[in-house]
Amino acid sequence: MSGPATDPAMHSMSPRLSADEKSLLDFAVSLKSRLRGPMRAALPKAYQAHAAPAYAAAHGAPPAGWREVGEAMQGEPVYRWWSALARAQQEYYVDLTASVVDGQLPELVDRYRAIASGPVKGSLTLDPGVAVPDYQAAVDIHCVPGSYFIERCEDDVWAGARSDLGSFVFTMGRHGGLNEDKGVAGARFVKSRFPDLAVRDILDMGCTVGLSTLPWVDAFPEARVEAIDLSAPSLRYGHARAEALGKEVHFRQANAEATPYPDESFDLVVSHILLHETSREALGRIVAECHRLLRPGGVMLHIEVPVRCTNPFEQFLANWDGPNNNEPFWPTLAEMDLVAPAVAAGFPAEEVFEAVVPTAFHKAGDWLGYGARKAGGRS
Amino acid sequence: MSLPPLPRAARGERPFFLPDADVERLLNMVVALTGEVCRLEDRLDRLERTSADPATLAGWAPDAEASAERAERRAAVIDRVFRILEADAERVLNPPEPMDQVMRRLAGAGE
Repeated sequence: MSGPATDPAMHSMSPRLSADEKSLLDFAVSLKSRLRGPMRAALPKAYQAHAAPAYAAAHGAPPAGWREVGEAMQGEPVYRWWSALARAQQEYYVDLTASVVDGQLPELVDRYRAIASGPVKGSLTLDPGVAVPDYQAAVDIHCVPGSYFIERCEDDVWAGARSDLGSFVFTMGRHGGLNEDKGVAGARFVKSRFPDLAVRDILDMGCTVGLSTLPWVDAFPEARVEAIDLSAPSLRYGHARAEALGKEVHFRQANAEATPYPDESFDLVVSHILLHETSREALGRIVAECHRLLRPGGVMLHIEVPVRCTNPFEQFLANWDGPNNNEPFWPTLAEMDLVAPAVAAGFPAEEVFEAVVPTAFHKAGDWLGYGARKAGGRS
Repeated sequence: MSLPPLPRAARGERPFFLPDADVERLLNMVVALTGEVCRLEDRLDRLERTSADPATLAGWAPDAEASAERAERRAAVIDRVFRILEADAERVLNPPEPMDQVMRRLAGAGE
């Protein structure tokens, strides 16, 4: 297998990069990869050698959980500077990708219109009545000013185009040139774990621009793939991107907590890094909606960031993005019992699973797969 | 199409990690300036590799070898600009002997 992709795979909706812009994005990627280097390596030592003993001396006991680890680490200069640089890098690459896309937005809108009005394989159904829920409106997720929802012109695709370009920089090319890792990994997991599952209809929840949706089209070429999201600019861009790449996907603006599809419409309902951007209450409703939408014997699979850690120090670092990169629900998800909401939704307890889903490309570490199979439907 | 400007600040409170938030603001400026240095390095590289012929210049993109050389140069710029932070990280992993202790030891019993 070759190394991480050095350039995003281009398609006819891709934002174009001047040579200077490419140099700046290359720098952002290099700086991000450095954040996994010497400073990151020093954090456990700083914790064991100074932070934990100092905390124990002051409190009479070592840090019990990740929050206490955080209290203990606040005074460590290497942690402070690593965090300060991580936040600075995040804001830098977001600002860079935002301005790159902003500078060519009229052309991107024209390209979207040209593709969407031509012969298409898939479809796009927008519903301006879909409200942005509190868990997406309270803060701008990933510190992107304007988030997924800002619209400044008719047929605005800015948020989607920035997300496509930004995702490549954020993952440093380690999820493939089309950022397809989550979808590829999820489809492989389903085929190996549920070889008997007949898949005619797939729903991808919280698809954004469809980075993870498209691999399902390839994995199940006979199936019809629907994809929903709250963000109209992402869906417009995602629709044009899918068409540009020759994939049939039916995009729809809808909230995963309450979709417009009839009961038992799908054999597979999937999501990718969606749940950690919701809330405890919404997660329960989303899982219940998955159960309602699945046919008997159908499978729900949520591919998530690997939020579960085995010790408080690693959990503290894994939770860094929660308070520090505007992912406020992440630490709660890391500690949540995920069996209960699935059982409450109607899934049999013995059919609920949490599993390691191996990366298909070069992601550091694997994905968390959370899901369940609906009762019935099997001979 | 005239668009209103994008907001510069993301909604949500911004954490500061350093005891002096102004030092952290300067870090953000250093990060951006380091990016500009890397961009200018690449631009010079492009000029040198194309002998600055405008027609050649416009369509030129680095091949794999040139990309790898640029990545090395970029890493070297980051090495130099952020050296102090990584040096401190090394000192966390291998704590130096306190200087007064070294001085006392080297001074020996005759001091």
